[in-house]
Amino acid sequence: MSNASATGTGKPARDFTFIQPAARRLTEYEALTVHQQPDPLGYDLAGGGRHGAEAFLLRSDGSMPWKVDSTRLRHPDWYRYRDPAQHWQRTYVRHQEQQESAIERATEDAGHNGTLAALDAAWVRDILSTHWRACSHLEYAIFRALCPAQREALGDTISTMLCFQSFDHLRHAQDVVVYLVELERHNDAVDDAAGKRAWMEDPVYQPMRRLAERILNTGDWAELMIGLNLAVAPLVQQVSISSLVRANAGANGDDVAAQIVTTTERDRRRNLAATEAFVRMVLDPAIAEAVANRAVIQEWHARWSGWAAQAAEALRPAFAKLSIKAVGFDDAITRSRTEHAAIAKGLGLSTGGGA
Amino acid sequence: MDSGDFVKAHDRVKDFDWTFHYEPPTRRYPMHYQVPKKTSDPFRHLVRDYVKMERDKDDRQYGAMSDVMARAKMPAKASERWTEVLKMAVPVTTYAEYAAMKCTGQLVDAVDNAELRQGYLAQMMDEVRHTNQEAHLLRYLAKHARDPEGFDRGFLVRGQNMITRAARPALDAFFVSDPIEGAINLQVVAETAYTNPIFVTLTEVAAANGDEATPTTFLSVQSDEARHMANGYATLAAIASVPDNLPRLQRDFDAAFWRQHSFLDSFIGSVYDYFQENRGGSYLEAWNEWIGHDWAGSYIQRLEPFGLKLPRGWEEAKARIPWGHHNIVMMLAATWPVHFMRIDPLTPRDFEWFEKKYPGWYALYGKFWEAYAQMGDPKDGQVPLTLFPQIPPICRVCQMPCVFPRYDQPTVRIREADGRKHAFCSQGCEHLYALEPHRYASAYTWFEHYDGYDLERYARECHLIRADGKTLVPQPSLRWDKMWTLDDIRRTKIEIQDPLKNLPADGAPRLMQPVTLQ
Repeated sequence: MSNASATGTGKPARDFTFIQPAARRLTEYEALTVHQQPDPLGYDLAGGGRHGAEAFLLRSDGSMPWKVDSTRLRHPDWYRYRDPAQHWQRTYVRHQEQQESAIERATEDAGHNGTLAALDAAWVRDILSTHWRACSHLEYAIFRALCPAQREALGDTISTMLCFQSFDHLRHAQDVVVYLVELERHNDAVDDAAGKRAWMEDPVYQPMRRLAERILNTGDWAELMIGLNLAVAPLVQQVSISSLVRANAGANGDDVAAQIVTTTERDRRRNLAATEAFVRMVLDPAIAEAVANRAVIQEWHARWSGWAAQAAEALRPAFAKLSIKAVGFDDAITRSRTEHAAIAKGLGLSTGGGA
Repeated sequence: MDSGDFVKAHDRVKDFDWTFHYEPPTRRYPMHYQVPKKTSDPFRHLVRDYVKMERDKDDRQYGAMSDVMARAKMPAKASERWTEVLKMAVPVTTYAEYAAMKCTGQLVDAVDNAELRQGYLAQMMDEVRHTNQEAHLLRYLAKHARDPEGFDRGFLVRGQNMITRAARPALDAFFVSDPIEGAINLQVVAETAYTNPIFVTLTEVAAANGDEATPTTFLSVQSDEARHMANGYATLAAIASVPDNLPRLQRDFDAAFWRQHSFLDSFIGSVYDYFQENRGGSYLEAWNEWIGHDWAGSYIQRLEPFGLKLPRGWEEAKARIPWGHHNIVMMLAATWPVHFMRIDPLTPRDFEWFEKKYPGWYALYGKFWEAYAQMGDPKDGQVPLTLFPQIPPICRVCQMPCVFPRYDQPTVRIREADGRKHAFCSQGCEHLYALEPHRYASAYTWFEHYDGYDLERYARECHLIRADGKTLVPQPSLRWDKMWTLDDIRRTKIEIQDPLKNLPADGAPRLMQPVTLQ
């Protein structure tokens, strides 16, 4: 590129024409996100300059500020990634503010109209306080793990997307806590400490806790994103939150819990789409690394699906505590396996390996 | 939710951690500090409160910019002298935000303290916000300013520019080491000492010069910064409360101050003093108030009971403040063809202001600026670079030209180490190198990149040609009838040469004495 402003007419473009838009026109998301992370071998020095990779200050161990081997995947240009949701901070915060306002109003209304006081004690004690609250620890672990993932990611559009994913999961974890605090004012069956006890001691939740520790120990940012969104979300969160909490909430008169989970499912769909776009980018047959990338992703997918399946399958006893049951464990597992397989099939991945 | 419930919710959201049982926890980043598990809480907001607060602020800022200000064509009415410097300044501040986002991602991972982590997470989102806000400002100016060329490519060329590149060693320090070292660079020094001069005082200058877009953006940014300063103070107080941390803390604090001072004082001072048209206060006055009085005199002194002292480079930095940035702007103007803005010559009215604010200024810099004003016409083919018998080399550590504390009394030193020759602008930068030489093994100066380029080749490769295909983006004046073109710059036959090649080295880099910790 010799002329960053070229329009072909001699008139300035009055826009960031150096960014290659994914579609015909540059979007606001692209303009405000692309080329924020330095790329010493790319645009920063017009292809690498005369000294190759440049770093003004190396890490204290002498490695580069961003490391090519921070993921086992390879791509010639990580900056080509585009989040299908096209979120930048303003659109993302607006979206979450709308979801949070809706939850807040629904909770307030349910408190006033007596819905919260009338909730069945077993539902409140066993499902909300114990099960859902235990699962909030998994959400918190995902939030934490995604923070260093965004630090290490090899492009700005990927980092920004991972920041939003991280924030999603903190929101999910906090919404459980805040709902139980509200509920406590209306319903004596709330026992907030039950969730932590279950998380630490109950055998039902130990595969999930083990999974959470694995998540927190995962250093490869792409592996983490792929494992979370292609295996953990369709298998673990689908069974533990969508089926056990949301699908049974209506029958148990708990519209607020259903609404909270519905917002997390919206986030989950967005994060799945973001991950699918990422996987398609690294498996694009047009890049030389596609074959090797496929083998790595397949390996990750099998491993994470196995871990996630263990965590999901251990939840049968939690379903047994439902006094009013709309969706049971077997239906939940079947649905999650179907969803998991459909996602894998859509990306051309095999599901043989634990799920 | 009443206040009792709020406190309850807030306590519970800080109780998600547990001790690993199934596998040993991984440490991703080097940590030289012990962090107490419980400390004061710098951020008492839930996600729900946070998104409401930020959405309100976003609506006010973007609403104002897209509505009244754009319709009234306000950006095009601002002082052009002022608006031009934003072409180089905003890409730098935007990168500072992005680097801060990386820093807080490390902190959430490494700091095992739920109170502090809450604050870091909110800050991580804030930094995404600020990156987007400032990128939006740059794009807004590309759309609405009288001269868009430069605004339209700031993010593309900031890594290639002699001056804006120098932001990287300071800002990369936010996230390339021990996460606490990053926090000291970001929160304790850059944000607490320097964001008030950048986002508060500089916006007063902007508004006085008819620019409403920058204050609208920057004041919204600054509304988050108070929380970040609280994060910094909470982090620092937590670290300082463990006596074993103190030697490392002092070392990292000393290094962080020097890195941030080396770039930020020259950068902010240049923008502040040289691009005002309707003139008010000086950077020296702002520095004395915000950094000398508030930061060093109040904020840091409150930590003295813990044993933390003012950074060791404080006196050397203070000595550089009155003149440092004047030398950098002189270098900027002398090398105008390699930048991406138009630099307005100073006038006698400016001279009076400078002499009043910086007594002795005219004797040091007046002649240069008079000559600069005479050399703007492309017909004459004169570039002010030729006024200097010797061009200063660039410092290996801070990447700034070695013109400190004054161009005529530089503290530059040339050393040889690790198979290369290095220039260091100061004792402070030489010390940083000697302390950790391996961290500069991939650092190259602007001169090392472009040695041997003629100005035409530089302009072509570094995107400095306007949409007409011949006129340069950089110009030595604001005159539309005297614009330099590729033909004009070709006629000067100037070739970029690395001055370091011809300067003899004098031994190896040396540490400052006494060396407290290595």
